[in-house]
Amino acid sequence: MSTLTFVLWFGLRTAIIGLAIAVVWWIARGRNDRLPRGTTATATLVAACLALTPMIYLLATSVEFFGPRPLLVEQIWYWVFERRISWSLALGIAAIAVLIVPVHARFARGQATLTHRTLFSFGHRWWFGGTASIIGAIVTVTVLAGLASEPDSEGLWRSFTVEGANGSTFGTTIYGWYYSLPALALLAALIVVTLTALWLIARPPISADHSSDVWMRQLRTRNVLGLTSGGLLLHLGMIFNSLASTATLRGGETVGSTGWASWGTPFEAMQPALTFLGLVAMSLGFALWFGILLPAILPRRASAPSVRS
Amino acid sequence: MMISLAGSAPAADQIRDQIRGLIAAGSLAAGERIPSVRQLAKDLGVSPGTVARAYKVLESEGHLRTHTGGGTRVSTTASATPKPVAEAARALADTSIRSGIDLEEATRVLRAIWASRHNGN
Repeated sequence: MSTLTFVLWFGLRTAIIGLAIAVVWWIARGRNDRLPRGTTATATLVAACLALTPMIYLLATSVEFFGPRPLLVEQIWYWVFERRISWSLALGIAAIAVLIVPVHARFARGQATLTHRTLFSFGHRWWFGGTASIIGAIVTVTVLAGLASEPDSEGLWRSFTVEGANGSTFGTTIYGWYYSLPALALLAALIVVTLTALWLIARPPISADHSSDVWMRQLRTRNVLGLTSGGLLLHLGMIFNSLASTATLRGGETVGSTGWASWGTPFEAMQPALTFLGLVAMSLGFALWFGILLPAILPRRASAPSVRS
Repeated sequence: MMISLAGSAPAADQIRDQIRGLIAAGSLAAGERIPSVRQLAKDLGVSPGTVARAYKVLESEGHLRTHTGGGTRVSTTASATPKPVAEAARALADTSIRSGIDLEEATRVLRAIWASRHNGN
């Protein structure tokens, strides 16, 4: 297998699957959702690239695609790479901050719609429900992994040990509190940034061109939730992958005079399922991010279609 | 459902009369939530007190009901249009516009479905 094929498949397969899903969706349904040329389309394009480029770079680096780095860079990179599970959350925050940029400070014109506007007015319920469900899954898995973790020799909560016979132990690293507490802080920040973005989209008075304004707000709400959910799914997928790696731990020792015994982790049987869930979650995360990028790459020339709220 | 301020009549009276008219016409359904005092005041460019005065009169007339934490809603006794019907009608209008179907065509489809349901029952 050539190096390029190796990198493409083992490093970037989730990105490739995600791109394929996004393209299929784009061909089937997404072409009507192209953004009109302007600040919003540009901000969306920049935000999607800001999220996708470092994430794809991270995946390519994980299979040593870019070769050795200078020592100083390597030391910094190690610190960053060790926390790669949190990358998608940080990138999601940065991307949503860019999406907030087209702030429309509209002034009152003596006209108003009699519709109660909230953060949730411009999206379907299942968009918000889906995002909340992913957050619930992340918190659940994080807490379970954190509770299973133990302090290592440096006192950092990232160790997982299994007891063998005769009091012997063998262990490996796990997605413990050492990794997950900063990630939970980033998760909280991502939620705050998302709610702020939704509030800024919903807050201004509806413009005179009511249908176009509502359509644009629906698209912007969807993009914000897409970036958030994409970042969350990538984070969840990487947690699953990390736990799948932990689940592969096996140790063995001599028992008695002639016997040999080996032990695995209590969740060893879940390893294939965790690997699969990691693949699915990361692919869907990339699909959401690419799904935001594609309509922004080819913005429409005409104005928004006529849609009522 | 737009309301707009024009002319020399006091803003609170205009707001009150227009909301009252929308309820009477069935555009605002029973139990439907209307904007908060702050939101409507900001959108219209008037003081919150002006909108609050209009809401208070409509409340006293039984058109609106204010619940703590639940916002201001059209009173269930004030409108003949149930909220689910108004929401479904808006959804039909949105879908028809998106599909390029005009009002007559949408009405024709609704009549046909209505007749088939009626006959089915």
